[in-house]
Parts: sequence; C-alpha cells; structure tokens
Amino acid sequence: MKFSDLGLPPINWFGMVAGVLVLVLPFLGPWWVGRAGTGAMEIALSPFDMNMSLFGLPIQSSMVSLFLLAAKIAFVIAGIFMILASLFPKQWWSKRLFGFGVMKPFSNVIFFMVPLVIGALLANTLLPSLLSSMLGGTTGLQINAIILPIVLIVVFIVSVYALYTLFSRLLSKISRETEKSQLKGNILLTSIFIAMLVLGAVTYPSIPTPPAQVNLRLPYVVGTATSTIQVQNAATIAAPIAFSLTWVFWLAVATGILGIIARIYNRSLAPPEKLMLKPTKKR
Amino acid sequence: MRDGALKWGLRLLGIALAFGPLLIALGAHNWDIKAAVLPSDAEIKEIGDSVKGIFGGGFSENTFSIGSPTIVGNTVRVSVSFTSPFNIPIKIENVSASVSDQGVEIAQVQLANEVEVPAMATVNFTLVGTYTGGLPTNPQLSGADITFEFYGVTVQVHMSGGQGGS
Repeated sequence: MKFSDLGLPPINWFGMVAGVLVLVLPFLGPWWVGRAGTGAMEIALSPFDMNMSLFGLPIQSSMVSLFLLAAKIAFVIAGIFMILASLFPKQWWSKRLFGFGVMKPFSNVIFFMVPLVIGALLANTLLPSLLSSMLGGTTGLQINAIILPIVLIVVFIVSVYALYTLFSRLLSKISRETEKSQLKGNILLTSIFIAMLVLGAVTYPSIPTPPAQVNLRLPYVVGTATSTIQVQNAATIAAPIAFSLTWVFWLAVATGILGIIARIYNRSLAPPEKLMLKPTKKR
Repeated sequence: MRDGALKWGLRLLGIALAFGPLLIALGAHNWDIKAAVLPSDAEIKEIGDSVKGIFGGGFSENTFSIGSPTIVGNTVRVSVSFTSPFNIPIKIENVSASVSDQGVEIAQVQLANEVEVPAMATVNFTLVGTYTGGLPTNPQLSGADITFEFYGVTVQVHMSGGQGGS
C-alpha cells in the first residue's frame, strides 16, 4: 500500500529523516576524540569542528576554521534541500535538491576516516625515526620508516583502483545506463573505504616497533596505547594515548546509509525522465 | 532551461563552499599561505610561553635536598625535601635510590607511598630500605630514579651522582 492510496501526497520518508539528521549533525559535537595523558593533549574532530589543546591551551588555524564553517553551512543547506525534496518528490527541482546533499554524510564519513588512518600510519612509521634523529639518538632515520609508508600508500592506491574496477563492472550489469555516471563517485568512495579498512587491519599488527628513542604506537582510529620518548639516558616520558569514535560518528554512518536508501526510494517516487524516454529510443 | 539553471546554481554553490574559505582566509592574511594555515607567531609564542610557564625552570640543584642516610637496626632512612619547579600539581609516584659506602652499594631505598605535590610547593618525604651488613662508615646516596606524573604523563628521571641530588 502506498501513501497515495491513503490520499496522502507521496513523501520520501527516508529522505525526510536523513534530511533532519543532516541538518542537526553539525551541531552534535565531535565524531572522534584523541587524548594523550589526562589533558596533556586533546583533539576533538568532526568535519565541522576541530578543537585542539596542549596542556589546556587551545590551538587554532583560521583557514581550517573557515573550511569547517563552510562544511557546517553546506550541511545545513543540504539538510534543508533534502527535507524540501522529500516533501515534494514530484516537483521538477526535487531530484536536483535531493542530489545536492544526499551523499554528503557518506562521503564525509569516508573522507573523515582517510586522514585519521593515514595520519596514524605515518605517525607509527615515519615520525619515531624523525623525532629520534631530532633528539640526537644514534638510530637516525630508518630507511624502512620511509619505504614502509610509501609501499603502503602504493598498495592502497592499487587496491582502490582494483576495487573500483571490480565494483564498476559488477554495477554496470545491474544499474541503469543513466545512473552509471552518478554511481561512479559512490563506487570510488566505497572502494577507498574498503581498501582503507583492509589495509589498516592487515598492516597494524605487522608494523614493527622501530628501534628508536621515540616509540610512538598510535592506535588506528580507535584504541589505546602508550607512547614513550627516551631522552638519552636521562629521562623517559610515557604518555597513554586513547582514541575513540563518538556516538555522533555512528549517527553520521547511519545518516549516510539512510541517505543511500532515501536516494533509491526517491527514484521510485520520481522516476528520471530519461529512463522513460529510453525504450522509445530503442524502437 | 530552469533545470539547467538549478543544476549550475547548485554546482556554483558547491564550488563557493569549497573554495570560498580558501580565498577568504588567504585574502585576510595578504595571500600568505603560512599565515592563513598556521597559528600566528604571536599565538605560537603565547603557547610556548604558557607551556614553559607550566614547567617552570625545570629541575635544578635546589630541586632536591637530600639528607644523609641514617641506619637504625636493619632499616635505612633517607629524608628528602623536594621543591617543585612546576606551576602545576604533580604526583611523585616513586623514588628509588642506591646507598653506597666506600663506593660499594650497600642498600636500596625507595618511597613508601605516592606523594602529591601542589604547584611550586615544597614537600618532605622519607625513603626507606633494608640493610643487613655491618655498620657503614660513610653511607651516601649514589644515584636515584624519580618517577612523577602530571596531566596523566609519566616522567622517569635518572639522576646520577652523590648526595645532594640533581
């Protein structure tokens, strides 16, 4: 039974809920929190906010703040567009407005995770040797510390390309011609996400602890670890490090999934005009 | 026509939201990328000064005042006075030291309980150990390790040398 059978105008309810969530997501707080010690260093991140503090002192960048403000504005606009498009799915402007914001949560989740994973990877492999060299250690810059991140990044790019090609071939068989161009971005994002997860899961246990004076062992996105800095033979500094994803991140993931469902459902409410013309073309 | 206009309008909106902040930030900092991306020199200096302020002057000769080891029965005691150079409260988790006599290590002493030290305050505590040899002639502290904690960060400092610390 459809809503239209009840005398109600067709509404994309999935889109409505996703739109409201997109509208409120920028105001719910950080998606990820990183702490060193208890207040020695704190980082709270989301695509809309970045709060960093060192011993309680805030650190800010004007350009980053402006980008985050723009992301916040983009999400508010996208949320309003999605709600309007979901309320009036048969209007000529509905598809365009819906398309403006529907993939934003999903893409933001992925582009939020990528720097976190790459940052942890570089911090675990390259940074200890660099810091050890700066502290005057005898270890110096390990060649493995340079090669390993490069190898991993190359493997990551190749994996993304392979997954992208695979998904493109699979989806080309099941998707409609007009949707292929729209799906390309989503396929790429999904490929990045899967490659990132697999690479992180495979490499994390196998990354050797560098024999350096600085032993950084950062968790990948979530977890706890202890990093140590040995200052010659005079002092050893150890800081517990804890990374965690907040409930807002998981709400963003749910919003992303809901957005994809809403997009699929929106097609059933307002089929694209090109699809209706296509059979006549074949005749 | 109107669909095309909307399509381009939304594209321009996306571009404005992506590149607008970049242009505004660069314009506000006279097109200096470093100034736009990084905190200003004044802000960095302020943070540096604040961090230096937290840690004060660091350890010096006046930080520790260590008394002579006293031996009563088979117990060695060393009284220590610690003047914190830090502008934050710290917690001394452990202090362990070696007591030597005529260049030979005769005992190990350590802190019995953790000591809370308020900012810039002086605290006194006693290191205790067990000694089972003959009566030493000139017992002295020959080296110490101190472990303290602030902001959840643990710092272990190794101090070598004789009585008087640091």
